[in-house]
Amino acid sequence: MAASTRPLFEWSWLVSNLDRVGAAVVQHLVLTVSAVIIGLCLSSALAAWCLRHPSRYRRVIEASSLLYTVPSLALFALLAPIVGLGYINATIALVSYTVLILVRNIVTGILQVPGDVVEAAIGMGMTRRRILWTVEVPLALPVIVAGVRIATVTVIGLVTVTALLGLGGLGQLILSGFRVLPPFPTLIVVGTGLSVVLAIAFDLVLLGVQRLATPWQQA
Amino acid sequence: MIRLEHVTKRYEGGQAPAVEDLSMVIPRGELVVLVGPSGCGKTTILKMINRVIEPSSGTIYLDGAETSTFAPHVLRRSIGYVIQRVGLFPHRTIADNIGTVPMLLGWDDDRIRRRVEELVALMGLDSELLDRYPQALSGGQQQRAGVARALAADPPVLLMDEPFGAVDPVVRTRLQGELLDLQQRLHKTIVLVTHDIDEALRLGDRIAVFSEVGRIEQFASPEELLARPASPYVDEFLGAHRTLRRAGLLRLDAILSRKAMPADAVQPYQDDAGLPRLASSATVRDALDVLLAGKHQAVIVTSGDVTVHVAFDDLRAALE
Repeated sequence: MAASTRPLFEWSWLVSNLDRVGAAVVQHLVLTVSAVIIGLCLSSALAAWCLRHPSRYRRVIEASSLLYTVPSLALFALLAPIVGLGYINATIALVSYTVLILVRNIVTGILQVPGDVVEAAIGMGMTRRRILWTVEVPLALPVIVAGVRIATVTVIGLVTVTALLGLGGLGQLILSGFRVLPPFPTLIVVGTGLSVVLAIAFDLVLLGVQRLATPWQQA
Repeated sequence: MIRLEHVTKRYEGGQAPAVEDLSMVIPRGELVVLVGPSGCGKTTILKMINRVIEPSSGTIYLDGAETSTFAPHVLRRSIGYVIQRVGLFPHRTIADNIGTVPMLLGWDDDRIRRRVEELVALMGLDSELLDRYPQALSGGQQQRAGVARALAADPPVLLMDEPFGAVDPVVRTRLQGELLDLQQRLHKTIVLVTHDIDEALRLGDRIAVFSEVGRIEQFASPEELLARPASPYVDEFLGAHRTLRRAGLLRLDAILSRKAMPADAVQPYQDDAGLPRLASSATVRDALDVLLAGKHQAVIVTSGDVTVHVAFDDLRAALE
């Protein structure tokens, strides 16, 4: 049984396959970053719409909660007849998952801005638009960035599944590790490990961004 | 000058209007206090002046111009606004907070910085606080910064909504004193809302006492209010010890001008040296306190070259 004798991790493979691993990381990043950015734009628009009409907020949250309960694999399959398998399918699915988290955090973040601060801003003669961009959004930033962090980490995990649609990324490495006989653990370990490392790295970078963007909280 | 004419505010779904057919004039340079129980519409009136709340009907004039003819945000930049919980922007430094309205008005950075420094000195704030964020300041410091922010563009009118409601009594008393000092120098037209009758009596040049249903029961000076309450409601609202409170407002100058004679005309009493002395800026209440505490028949009050003996009867006469 040669299968059981393959070591968990072979340095030699990693060293000679850095190109392939690097490409997988880049593909993983592209899928993640594009999904989060599109999700953030969409969620901002939805959040703005919800804030203008508070009665709609609950419905948007319910709809996106429902979406969130659909397993990712099922969502890919559901979308396949409409957009086929591939990048668009994956992105639509990934963006959908970010929307629930982001809409909720943006709306909550804006709503928790103290009423007296907004009242003062109105009383000082700030326009509605200026209050949104220079008072409400900055003060909501910690909550919004917290949402972006959760969304990003979630997407990084989900992108490994998009390998099933034939897309690249670290999921492809993991899948390949299972597809050979005997299974090749090094591929699985590298794919999984790098996915975790990416998630942690993104989380830390975003935390840093949040700290830099909210100096008043560090005082 | 602020003039309200037949102003009514109805809230959607509310049965009775919050403010009904209110007309009043707030003279230029005076500190007018709106006082009444919560729900009497006093805050609504204040917020209608800078159009944070729009009246349902009626007209408000600011120095002769209808406030409704301005864009709301333009109008508000010419009216200082101080609220109870201050509402400093937590994400901006104290300097930026104070400079908010000048920034909105497009002043250049140099001018804003000079103005902020001026205001910090005026409000007795430490200039080291300028680079801090609001949360690093005490409640009293925050309130001073809030007043500085309201004064930044030197607006002729200042609206203050329960400005000292959120600070402890010791700080409140001090801030009230500072506001009076400030007003002596600046002569702004100030409208201040409070539910605290003592604060109203201490600060107001004129006081509008509101009933529960948002009607003005009396609009008069503190002395007038205490001497001649217009209705049983006002009398009750003023609370106990009305005469003593009035004595606390009445300065001995008033007696001095009535009894005044040149110093050399006063025949010094034998026991002059033993009589307590008071400045003419002291109140009738201070004099009563001194007389009640000791065995003296009179106190000596001096102002400039005028010296008089003030006895218990003089004090009673002054309160009649």
